[in-house]
Amino acid sequence: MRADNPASQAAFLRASEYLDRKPLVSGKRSLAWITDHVCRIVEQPAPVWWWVATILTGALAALTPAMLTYLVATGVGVWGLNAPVAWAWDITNFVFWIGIGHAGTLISAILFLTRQKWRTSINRSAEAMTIFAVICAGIFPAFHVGRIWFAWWLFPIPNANAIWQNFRSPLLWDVFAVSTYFTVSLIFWYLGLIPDLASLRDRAKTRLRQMAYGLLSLGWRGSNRQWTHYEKAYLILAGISTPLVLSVHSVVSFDFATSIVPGWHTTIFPPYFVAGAIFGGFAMVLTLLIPFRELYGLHDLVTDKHIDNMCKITLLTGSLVGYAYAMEFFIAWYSGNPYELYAFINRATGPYWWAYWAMITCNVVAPQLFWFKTCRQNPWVVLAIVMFPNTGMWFERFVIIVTSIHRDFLPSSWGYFSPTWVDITLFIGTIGLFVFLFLLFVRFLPMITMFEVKNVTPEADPHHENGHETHGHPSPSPAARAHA
Amino acid sequence: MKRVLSHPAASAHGRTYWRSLGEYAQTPDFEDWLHREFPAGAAEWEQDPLSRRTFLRLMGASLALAGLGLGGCRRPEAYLVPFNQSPEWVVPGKTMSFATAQPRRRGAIPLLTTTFDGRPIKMEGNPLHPASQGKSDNHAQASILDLYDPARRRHLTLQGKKATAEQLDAEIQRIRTEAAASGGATLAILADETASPTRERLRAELVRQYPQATWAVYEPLAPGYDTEASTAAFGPGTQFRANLAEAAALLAVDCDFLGSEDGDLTDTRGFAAGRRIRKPGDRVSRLYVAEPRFSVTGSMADHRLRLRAGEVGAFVLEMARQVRSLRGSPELSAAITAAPDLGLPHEVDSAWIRECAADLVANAGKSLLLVGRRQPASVQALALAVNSALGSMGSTLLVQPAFALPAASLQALVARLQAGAVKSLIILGGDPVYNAPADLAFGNLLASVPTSLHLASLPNATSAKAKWFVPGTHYLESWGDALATDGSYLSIQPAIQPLWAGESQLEFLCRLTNRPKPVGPALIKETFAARINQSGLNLEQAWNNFVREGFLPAASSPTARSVNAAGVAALTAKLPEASEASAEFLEVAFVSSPAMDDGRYLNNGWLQEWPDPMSKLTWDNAILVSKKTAEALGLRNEIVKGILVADVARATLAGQSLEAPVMIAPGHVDFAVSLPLGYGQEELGPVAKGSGFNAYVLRRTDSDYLASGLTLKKTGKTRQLAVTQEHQMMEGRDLVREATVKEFNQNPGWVKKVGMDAHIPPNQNFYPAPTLDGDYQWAMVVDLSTCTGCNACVTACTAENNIPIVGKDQVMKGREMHWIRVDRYFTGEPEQPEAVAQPVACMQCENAPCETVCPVNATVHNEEGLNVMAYNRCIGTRYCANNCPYKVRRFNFFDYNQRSLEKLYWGPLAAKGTEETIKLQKNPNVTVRMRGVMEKCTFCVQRIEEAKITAKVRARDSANIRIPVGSLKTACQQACPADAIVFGDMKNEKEAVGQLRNLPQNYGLLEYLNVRPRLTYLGRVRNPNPAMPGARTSYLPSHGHGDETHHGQKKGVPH
Amino acid sequence: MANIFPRWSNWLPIKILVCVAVVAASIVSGMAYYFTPKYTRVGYQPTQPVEFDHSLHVNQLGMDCRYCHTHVEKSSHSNVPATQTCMNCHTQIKALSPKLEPIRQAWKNGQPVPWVRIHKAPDYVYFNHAAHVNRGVSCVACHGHVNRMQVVWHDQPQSMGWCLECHRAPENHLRPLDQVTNMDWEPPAGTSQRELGQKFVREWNVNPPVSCAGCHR
Repeated sequence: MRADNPASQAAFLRASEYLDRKPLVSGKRSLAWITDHVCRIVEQPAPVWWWVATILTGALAALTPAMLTYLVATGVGVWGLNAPVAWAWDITNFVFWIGIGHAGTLISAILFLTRQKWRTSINRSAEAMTIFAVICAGIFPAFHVGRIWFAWWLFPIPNANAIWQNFRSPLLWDVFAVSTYFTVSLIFWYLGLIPDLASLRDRAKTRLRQMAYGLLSLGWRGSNRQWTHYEKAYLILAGISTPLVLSVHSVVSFDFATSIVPGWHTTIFPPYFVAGAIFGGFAMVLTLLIPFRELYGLHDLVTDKHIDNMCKITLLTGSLVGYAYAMEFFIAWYSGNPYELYAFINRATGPYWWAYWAMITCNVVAPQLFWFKTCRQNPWVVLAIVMFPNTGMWFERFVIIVTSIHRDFLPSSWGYFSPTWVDITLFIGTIGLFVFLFLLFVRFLPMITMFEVKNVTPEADPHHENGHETHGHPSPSPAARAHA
Repeated sequence: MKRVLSHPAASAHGRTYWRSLGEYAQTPDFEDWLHREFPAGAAEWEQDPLSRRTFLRLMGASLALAGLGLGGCRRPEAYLVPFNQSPEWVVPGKTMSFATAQPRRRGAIPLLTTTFDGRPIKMEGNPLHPASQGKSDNHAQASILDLYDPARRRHLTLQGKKATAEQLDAEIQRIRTEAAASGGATLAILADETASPTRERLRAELVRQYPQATWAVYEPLAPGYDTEASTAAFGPGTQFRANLAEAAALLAVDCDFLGSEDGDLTDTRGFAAGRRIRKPGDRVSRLYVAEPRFSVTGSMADHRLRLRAGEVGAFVLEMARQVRSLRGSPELSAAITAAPDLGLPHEVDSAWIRECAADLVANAGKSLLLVGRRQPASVQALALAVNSALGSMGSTLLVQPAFALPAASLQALVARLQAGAVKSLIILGGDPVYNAPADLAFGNLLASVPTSLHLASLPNATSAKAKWFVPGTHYLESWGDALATDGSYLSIQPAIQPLWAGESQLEFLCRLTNRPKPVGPALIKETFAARINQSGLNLEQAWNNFVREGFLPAASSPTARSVNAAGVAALTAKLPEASEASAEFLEVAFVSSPAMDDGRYLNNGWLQEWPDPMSKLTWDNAILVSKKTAEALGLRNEIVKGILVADVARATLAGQSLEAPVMIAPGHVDFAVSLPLGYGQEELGPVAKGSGFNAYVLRRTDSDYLASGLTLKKTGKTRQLAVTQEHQMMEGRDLVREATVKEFNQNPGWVKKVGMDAHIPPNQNFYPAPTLDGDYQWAMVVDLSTCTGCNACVTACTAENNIPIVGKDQVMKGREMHWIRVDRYFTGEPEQPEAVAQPVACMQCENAPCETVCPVNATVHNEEGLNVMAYNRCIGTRYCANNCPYKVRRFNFFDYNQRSLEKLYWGPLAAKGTEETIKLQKNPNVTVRMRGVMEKCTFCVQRIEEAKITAKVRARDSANIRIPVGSLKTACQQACPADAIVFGDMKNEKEAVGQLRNLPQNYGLLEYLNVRPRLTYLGRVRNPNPAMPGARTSYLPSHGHGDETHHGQKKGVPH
Repeated sequence: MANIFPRWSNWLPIKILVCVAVVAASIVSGMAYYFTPKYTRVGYQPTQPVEFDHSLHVNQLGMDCRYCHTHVEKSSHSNVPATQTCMNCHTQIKALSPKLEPIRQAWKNGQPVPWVRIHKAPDYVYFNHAAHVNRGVSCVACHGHVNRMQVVWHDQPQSMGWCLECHRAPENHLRPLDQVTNMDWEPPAGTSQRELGQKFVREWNVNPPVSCAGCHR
């Protein structure tokens, strides 16, 4: 590999600057540094900003149970729903959160199966985000029903009434799709945590931490046999998760696609929803990772290359979504059905025009900035840009749901929806809950998959000379390696 | 594991009301039974922890429910409390019907009341009576709620404080003595108008006892100008009415005979009969309407002219001239000669009048000119002369004896009051303090009378001002009688004992005349005996028949009468000048509100939430103006976030003013405003509170209907109005399909070539269609040619199906619960729009989009083609409502049946439960839905199942379990006075519905969706006169694909 | 590194799993038994204010159900007899029995006897007695052998599934109309209930509703 004469060596090094893949861990960090740096987040006392943020979001999160209590005690009428608009913020928020929950499993399962090594430093937090987003999502369909105390009728439990569910209803498919997705995502996430939890256990100084992480790591010793089993299990779960990534949001889209409402009744919905979900999910991953990378100094693990990759995915899926928007209009016109055409013209020019154009701006226009490398390279610019898809994807669901049903077939029944304070507070509550859970996660669990990141360091490469950390450098002290 | 639960010692018993059982009431047995079943104080209802349906399921007289917890995990312990002694005829759980009638200002509506376990629960028309033929209207339907109105006062009051019966007895005695001393000069009685012969009899008796007493009658909406015209034309003691079944061409001038005009159901039925078209070549009548505001009648017009009410005189005069030029008659000539020369009304095309007159003359003998009864007598007299010339007398216009003896006017009474001559004023019914002309200041006068007494079933403004208030009875609580508009004699039979101590006007008049309190129907029987005196009938037999069937046919049929030329000419000489009007000098018409009438129904929640047929406004009235007038005055209506926000204007007339929201009414005449009366009565009760404004404050003796010189000034304030339909245009969609008679005759199947239906390929089902193998296949057809959009079906459905009211706030949010609604769209030119009405209930789609999406199978198809709802299975995902293309599903966003409407948002902090009396009205055969549950029309499935069970019970061990044809009707169908709704088994060839569905003009709404609706429509056929100026010759879309232009928004009709 | 957990804790997960499984199984089977009408209703046998003995009146005295429950053939309800019905006989027979004191009291003071309700369909269920007894469904099908009960109890679950069982296969319960109130009727020798029932289904055109609207309105 290494040329003999210094000149050609220098040339090689120059060339490799352009030709070699950038390392996934920058800064020539040692394995020990990785462990240290990631575990330190959990082991050191929490910084002040963490306390401030956690208390603040915790207070916001408390709005969720408060609003739900009021809702259940009083009636669904506390929301702004009405006769033509029987679903509004409830289902908008549901689809929004479920969409957010997509990136996690996509990163951990599909990118795993396709051997995308760059996933390793972001998959843990993306999966955590998925779990929390699905928790927030699950609240809405559960509580949007008029009589939640009978919501258990959604499950096929044998009963004295000899009555079963309607398996033709997409809502029932939702029940199965979302609960399966949540369960598999949770197990997948937890399985991936086990080796790192063991590291935390081993480093723990207090008895309490030892017990806690000890319990959670389920007796992981890192033996060869355990690793073999682990890898098999992880591969199987990745295999199970992969179709779920596609199925969940497809099923969610069936809520609309199988209906007859102009604007909902669209065969493009399943792929369009999946693309939109990945789009929104990656935007949210970036939204969370950029500040935390900064706050915990994780630049060498979550590198600019990671951000760059995610920006490219965002650009791709954002453009897919834009294509879908255009195609919907085309089909509405091409169908020759005046009801369909009206639904789409009404989106763009009707009483909710602002929502539609907010959606277009945020989802289609804003991500185009990622064509420019400069935009992808400055994390703060990236953070600013991804706030648009975050907002835009909420508007997309609002536009699809509310503007389609507020004016459908009979003009006599046209109406308008405006949210009440309960709608707004509950949504803020779930945002608070989401961030609050994420803050707890970064505080108590390793937010980066240490063992997997170590796998993608150059050192982990069996061909790596002496197993050294970096090209052309003497190996660090054996002590450091032993410690890792 | 089995437990034996001991019986608690508590002496639990509930209470109920019982119906008075006719003459049975006189027997000592009954008195005895009553005494034992109803211990003292039984009428005072406490909040028993009874669930409503539990209450209704009682086996006998009463039932109570012990608290939860006694049974632990088991159900709470409940008791079955039987009668001590079973009353005759009563089968608990079976309904009984009694013939009765709702007294109205003019005549009465013959009705049947259905009682369940002694509670009246529903009103229907009397099928035996020719005027009703089983039909009813919104006021008849809603009147049952008035019976149970919790705002009814339960005791006598003297100066606002509870008084005893003895005190009242003493007071009456004193009034009698006082009156006797003056020959009655100190006594005055002010009564509402009624067609009760017994009241007239008692009145005569009272006047005999006190010859100097004043008997005045006041009705704010029946000034009696028609009687004046009738007296002039046909002599005293006469009245006239239209017979529209015979009419081929009709001109209604400021006369809403299909809506708010005094009349009965014969007008609507007669008109509908003339408009029913089934096959090419059928004869169709033609309706011309000239009116100031768009009325229900105007919406049915083939030609409608906007005409200010103040120009009606000039208009009718011109019409008379045109008729005379084609078909002279001496009395018409005399009338025209006597009339002042008024000239043409402003901005009216003389060709309109000419061609209309030509059409009326061409149909002579079968044509009719109708003028609103609140127009001056001179105009009405002239119209009678025109009708005489048209040969209408005896065919389309009938003359019959008047209902009531002439009485003093309110003005005459006021003069006596002002003179201080009256010491005791007794007011029977009505609310003169609220609705008397403002210049009379009746409230102040009433306060100045030493003794005043008001008898009314619901306390109102007059009750508050009168010294005494005597709770009156509802017509379902007391015996009475009335004359129907056709002159037949009706029995008003009580269906329940007075809920609270109350007495009827007749009983009260007995006190005044010192008669003993009548026992049961004794008084009515006396009147009845006198009426059949000459007929030689057996009294007992005839009486039983009278009570059972509810009426005695009119003694004499109306005869053709000739018009007294001199009498008419004397009146036409007083024809009023056509008034001037401009944006600064507006004309105002005080119109009756279709829901509230003169204000008597304002505390009735069903009618408050009943959308006005034209404006779709609920819970309020508004100043109605045309778009042009509003623009000239800078007044605006805006839809803000789905809510109609109306500018509030200050209306000033002759120094008096009021502030009220302005509503832009398409089709309203320019520079005139309509002020609907009847609202703004804060005292009437919790439902009436905060609803609308009181237009009576502007109304004066000389302007009881019309006035000029009103100014409207924008105040800068706004008011949110609750309309049930914000968007008024069809957006070029093929919803209501219309054609002219000619087009229909050429292509009776035109409806199939309209809009999406014209070019949609055959659809395929994704899921297998439900098996429709039931013995019956239910279907409904609505004939849009005869449906007037009167909304009677809405109230009938509300009463039948326990539909809750939700209040103004919820209606504004779009959460009204009506299972059937009448969509009304404006079409044509914005300046001169036409209107169409389309009743929409659940279509019972065979491929129902709601069914596939319900996750818990709460809404499924049954084998008879009904889309049934199991309310108790519903968890309330609302997906079905989203997927319903007709938006007929209604969701209980709150516990509308259990919480007070003001505190819906309080949740558990507000008290739970309804007024006991309101529970009594509920139909026990329909589940009262709780919050979180979707509900909708199921073609009155409770009636279907009841009919099927009845057939099975009758069949016993035979195989004939079919429901007899025609014995089953839905509530909306039963009420519909135009017979526009037909329901039945479409599989049965004998049933009309199947035949109608096979007609070429039958179409389904949004049929292209392949939902296969079971409710279909017969396309609307209009009969325009091609000779008329501006007549539309075609109603078909020009390019055969439905009118896809979005003309509604462009032309700026408010939406 | 030292062990954090003692050795026995290796078995803990399995033990916990077993416990959870046992608890879950008990909950499921407990619900299956205790939450169904078979438990919550069947056997409910409250003490009545008067110890009315159905077996005495029906079996020993041979009274027909309809003597007291007069409206069962006409109405949706089967009424509880009025006090008067009791007094028809008990003014002469056992006129002074202390057991009948509440009846006599009711008759005297007009406060009817509050019998404790045993059978109750929920508010949203519309059951019609007349439709059943007029079409060959015996009292015994829903109420059990009341003629053998000294104190009446709730005999059948009367759950929706139980109703549907019969509505889907009415032939299992139909009998001649004159035998409807004969609680001890058996199909005549040589024929079975099923054969006889199928004959009635055919001849009487029996087609009980199985869709929601049959009972829920």
